[in-house]
Amino acid sequence: MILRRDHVAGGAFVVAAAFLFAFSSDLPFGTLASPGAGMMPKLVLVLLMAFGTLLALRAGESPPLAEIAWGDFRHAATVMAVAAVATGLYTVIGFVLSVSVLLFTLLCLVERRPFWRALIVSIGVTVGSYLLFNTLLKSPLPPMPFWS
Amino acid sequence: MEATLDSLLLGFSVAFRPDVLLYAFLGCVVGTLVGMLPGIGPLAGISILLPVTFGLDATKAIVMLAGIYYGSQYGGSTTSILMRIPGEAASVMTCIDGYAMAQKGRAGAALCIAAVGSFIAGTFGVIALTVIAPPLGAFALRFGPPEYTALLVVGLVFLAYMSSTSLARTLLMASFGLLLGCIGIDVMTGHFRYAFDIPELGDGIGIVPVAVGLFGLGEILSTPSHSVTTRVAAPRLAELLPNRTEWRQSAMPIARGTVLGFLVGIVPGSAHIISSFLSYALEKRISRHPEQFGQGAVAGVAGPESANNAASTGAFVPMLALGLPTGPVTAVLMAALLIHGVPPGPQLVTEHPQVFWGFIASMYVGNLMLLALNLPLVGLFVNVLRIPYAYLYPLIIMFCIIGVYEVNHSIVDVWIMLAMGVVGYLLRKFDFDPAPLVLGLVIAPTFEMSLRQSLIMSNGAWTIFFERPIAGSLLAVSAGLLVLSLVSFLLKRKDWRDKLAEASSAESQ
Amino acid sequence: MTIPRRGLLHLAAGGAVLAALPRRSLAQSYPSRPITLVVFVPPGGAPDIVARLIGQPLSQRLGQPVVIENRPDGGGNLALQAVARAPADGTTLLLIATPHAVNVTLYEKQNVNVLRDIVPVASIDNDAFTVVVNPTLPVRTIAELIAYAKSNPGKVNMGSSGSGNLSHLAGELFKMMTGTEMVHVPYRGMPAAITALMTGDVHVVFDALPSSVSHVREGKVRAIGVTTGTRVKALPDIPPVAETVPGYVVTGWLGIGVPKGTPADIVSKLSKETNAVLADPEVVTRLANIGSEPFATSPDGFGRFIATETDKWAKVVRFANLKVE
Repeated sequence: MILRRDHVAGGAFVVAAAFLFAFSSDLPFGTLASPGAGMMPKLVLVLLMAFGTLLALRAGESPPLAEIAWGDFRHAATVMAVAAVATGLYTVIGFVLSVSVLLFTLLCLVERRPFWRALIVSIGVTVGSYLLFNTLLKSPLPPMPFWS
Repeated sequence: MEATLDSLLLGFSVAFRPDVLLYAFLGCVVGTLVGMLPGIGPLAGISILLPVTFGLDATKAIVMLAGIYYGSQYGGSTTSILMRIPGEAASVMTCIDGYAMAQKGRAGAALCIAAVGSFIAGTFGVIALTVIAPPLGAFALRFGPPEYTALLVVGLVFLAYMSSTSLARTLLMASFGLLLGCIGIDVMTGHFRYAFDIPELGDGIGIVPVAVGLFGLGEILSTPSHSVTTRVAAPRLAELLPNRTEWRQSAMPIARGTVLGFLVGIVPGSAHIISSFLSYALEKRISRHPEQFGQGAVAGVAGPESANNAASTGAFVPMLALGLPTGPVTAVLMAALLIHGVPPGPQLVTEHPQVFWGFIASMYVGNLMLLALNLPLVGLFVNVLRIPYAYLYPLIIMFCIIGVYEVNHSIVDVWIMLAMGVVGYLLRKFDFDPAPLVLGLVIAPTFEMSLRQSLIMSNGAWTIFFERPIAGSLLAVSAGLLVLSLVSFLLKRKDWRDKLAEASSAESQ
Repeated sequence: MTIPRRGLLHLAAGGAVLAALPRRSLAQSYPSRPITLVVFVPPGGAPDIVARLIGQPLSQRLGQPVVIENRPDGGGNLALQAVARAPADGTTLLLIATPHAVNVTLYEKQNVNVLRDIVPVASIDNDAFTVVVNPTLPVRTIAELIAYAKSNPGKVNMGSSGSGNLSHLAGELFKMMTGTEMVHVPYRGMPAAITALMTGDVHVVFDALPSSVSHVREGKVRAIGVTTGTRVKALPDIPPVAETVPGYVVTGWLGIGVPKGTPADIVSKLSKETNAVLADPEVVTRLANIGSEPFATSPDGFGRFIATETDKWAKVVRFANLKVE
């Protein structure tokens, strides 16, 4: 049997839901007259398992797993990694630095734009936005910690 | 009727004073900007500008603040259409077909239709507000937990109609959304659910990070820049405006969306966001070409946009008629009125007619202004698309991070957005539609709360949903819809199978 | 017009920033940078509105903009954490409120504590709650409510704006001190609870005064008591609950605090300016419009107040067996 896309998708949901169901054993289900904190999540998890199973059973209509185009994976992963780094640094080194790094990395290293143009755009846009938010919109963005 | 006309004239005489006009304009501009930025919503804009209004009189203050509110609806559609980023949760549905239209080169048309639809909906809403506010207010008061539950069940059933993919996938996504909505402290018992010791998750996962991450980031991740080959040529004016077919296709959806949105909006506490979902589902259901939805159907933009504008206007009904806020935004507007010494409620009309009618008239004027503001800017906005994609998408990421962080000053929200970006990417790969997920997330808290309250109130008796007239009729509607959908599903399956059989027999010849 | 003044303030702020760069801020030159006031509710929540109401005149007096930063979630703990970790130089202020005192007992596992990590500076207001009932209920006084609840145990529904919120705790304190049984029905937010009261789905709600005043005046709900020790100006005909239940006092209060370790002269300057703002007649009027009255104390007085409140709510939390796990 060819492994089809919906087999994986449905199966993943069923497994995840089952895992979460076991994980939420400490949430009381309650009775009909006084529903507990666990009632809704458990019902929803059951629904997830049901629909996941349904999906996996009817997987015959979906294309085989191997046919999914993962060509953009490298690009997506890189963008994600850069964004994650910038987010991690956001409150630590402040808005201007972390976002300039974000923009510059994406423009220069990922997109291979000319170095100087990328640098100017990164810093210019970042500083411009910082000033815009600080003065016009009166909700300042995280400053650099060593500014104090 | 005489008296109403007189009052309206009074209102317009107030609204058209140059200084009042100026503040309305200011509010609309700020609202549009705020709506365009992903994350920051009208609530933040209104709150930040609240102290600025202390030096003004009540009419100017409320006119400006209200302008921010509906201005943000217009702004939200702009980013949805151009970049598939919901400027705020209500614009999520516009992302789908609006962006598809933009990709086909019809961005200008989509923006125009959104603006015009919103204008018509807003105007209708204002007129309805003037004429039928008090009795509607009384009706809205009869909504208790069972009615809310039933209303949301209707919303979920409508979901079934949104499936461009199979029913199972849509419901799977909706359940996933419901599950995400369960994260956080359970309001009724104080249990932490699925929070993994992260205190920021106490109030649950916000809609904004999820919507922005799923739609905006998901889109960016799936589009490596070298694949963006469509060069958006500088549009000529004629191309910017919708052509005659598109106008014709948008007329009825605008009408339906307006009525539907207004009705949803007047229910106190209801999530206005579901108005755009309901409209989208309705349009898809009664359209003669449902397969176009998702590829750039005009009705998919016209309906939801009108619906959400009508809903935000309808939200003023409980506020003005009963003094009850329908959500955080109307709550701030009420507080603003209070601070200026104008208590909102039924006496507002009699004790402060200037403020009330000036406010109503300025809503009309504001809508007009926003139309005038947005239409010429359509050309400017479409030119934004001409920035090379390689420069554009890092900027978009930056604005997403800024906007999402600014909502709660919580970096956790940004992480949620990134995580949802990954989820959105994966969902696309496996051909899942993310819209039902957002709907499930939006509905979950109210749905669960209403359901549990109904059960507590009735001591576990399920029949409470059928005993109360409004709840009962809503449930009857959903049952009817389900039956209809099942019937047509079976019929279509037969058709589809026959067609497939014909096609394959034709091929084999 | 306040707008050009703001621009000037920002220019001044910018200049001050540059000037203050290499030195640490000294109390004499305080404040030399914009001040952040961290608020624990999203924009538009009642405490947020009061904060903005006070923040604007305060920034005019201090000569530096007071910027509101909203950090909701965690019942007030996130805001508390953010300020506790900020540098103790008076540029980060916390909007302290009753929930912070309650949380000392409610959240057992918290690593920040308003008594330990925050220095109180000045209180802002101290608002009463009202006990409102559905007008069709045959109850016109607190005594009648107690009698009604005792003769219908388990049938009187008490609505609140959420489990652990003040409207809930006020009711629990009432139950504790009167020995009555009422069923707590939490709602998401006060408007939902008040709507339920109007429709009769719940019978009684302990609502903050600012929020219920307009409904009471319109006759949609009936107020039978206020929860301060004395009568309030907004509803002068309503007797305090304490007349029937001696010692019952519930208030929602707001105040300003700074991180522990802030120099004493900065604290006293902030306190002086805040109290001056509270004495300003325009501020008093605006507060009165939203049903609130200014409440000025000294830093020590406020500190003692917070400690008393913490003890009181600790008893209620234990009585109602509330826990956030």
